[in-house]
Amino acid sequence: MNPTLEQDFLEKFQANQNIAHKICRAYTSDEHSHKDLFQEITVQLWRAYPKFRGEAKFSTWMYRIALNTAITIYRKQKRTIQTSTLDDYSFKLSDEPYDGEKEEQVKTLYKAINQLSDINKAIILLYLEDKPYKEISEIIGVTEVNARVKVNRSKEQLRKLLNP
Amino acid sequence: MDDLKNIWSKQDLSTDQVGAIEVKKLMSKKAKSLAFWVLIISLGEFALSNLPLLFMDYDAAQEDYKTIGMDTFMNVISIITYSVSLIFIYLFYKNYRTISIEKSVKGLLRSIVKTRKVVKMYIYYNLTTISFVYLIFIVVLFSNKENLIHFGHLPPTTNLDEIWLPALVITIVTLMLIVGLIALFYRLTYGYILRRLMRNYKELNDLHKKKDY
Repeated sequence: MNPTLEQDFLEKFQANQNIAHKICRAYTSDEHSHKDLFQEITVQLWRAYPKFRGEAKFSTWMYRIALNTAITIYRKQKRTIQTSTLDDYSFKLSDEPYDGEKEEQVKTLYKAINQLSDINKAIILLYLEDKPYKEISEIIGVTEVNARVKVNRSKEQLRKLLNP
Repeated sequence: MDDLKNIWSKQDLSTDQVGAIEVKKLMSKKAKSLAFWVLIISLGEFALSNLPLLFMDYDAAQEDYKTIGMDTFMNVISIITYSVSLIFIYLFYKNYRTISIEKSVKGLLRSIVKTRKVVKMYIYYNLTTISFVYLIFIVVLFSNKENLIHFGHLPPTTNLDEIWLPALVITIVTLMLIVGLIALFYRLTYGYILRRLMRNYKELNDLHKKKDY
């Protein structure tokens, strides 16, 4: 194994691992599935890394691979996925009682995201990350105009879920 | 919506963080979990195939084999089969351990090839042994009409000329069915793992051969 390539991947992955965690939080509802998805994302990224030529930003490339992996797995398991309860999210939160209200807000937000369709989850994640429409369109694989439409629809759905 | 972006950006992900060593391990976890499943299935298979023995009357079975002179043969075969099964389980465990601690791609590739080889040997060995033992059993049982009467607990007045051929056909068909079912079970379990291991091998090998390596 080329130690340089491995080291290079590890450094970039470590610096961007929050991307994978946010996706795992959005697409899973228990710690075990979170770990499984995180592992699958890591494996897929590592396999694809030799083809990464640096034409796009590493984070954009990582979003694309990680979201594809999450969506593929989510589709496979769709029939078995149950609606999550608020308690399911407790495992993801820090044991440190630093800001109860903030944690509650994050919890509620993830609960709403978890109810969106697989594609809308991806779009909302990118929107919340404040990604420009151009980058969203690159990651999702649609035109910029289409990305705008999809973001607006997903935002509307999320709003309804948060304020029924 | 801006509030949501604000909440989103301030979420605490510190509990999820994974260290570099852990990430390295995750990168090669596929082959490890496949080797683990080989071990689990072989253990389950060993337990399951020996479960009927708990409910079997060993002495009665031994008596039946004695009547056709196969008691020693069956005992020797049992000892050999148990020993070889345990050796294979140990080899599966060894392969799993090697894959788990293997750090280099080259070493991992070697371990995958070895695991595949051992699994294939196990399948061929089991199918050959079962077929061989049954064939010997059929030859002994049907070569002597007395044997058929004793082993089948048939009344001495039975017209053996009438039942000999149907009994032989039924026994051979049963043997073929049993071997076929076992082969199907192997195809669905080990066969699936062998294919996944092959895919994993190819992916790792491609990665290893990349020009920039």
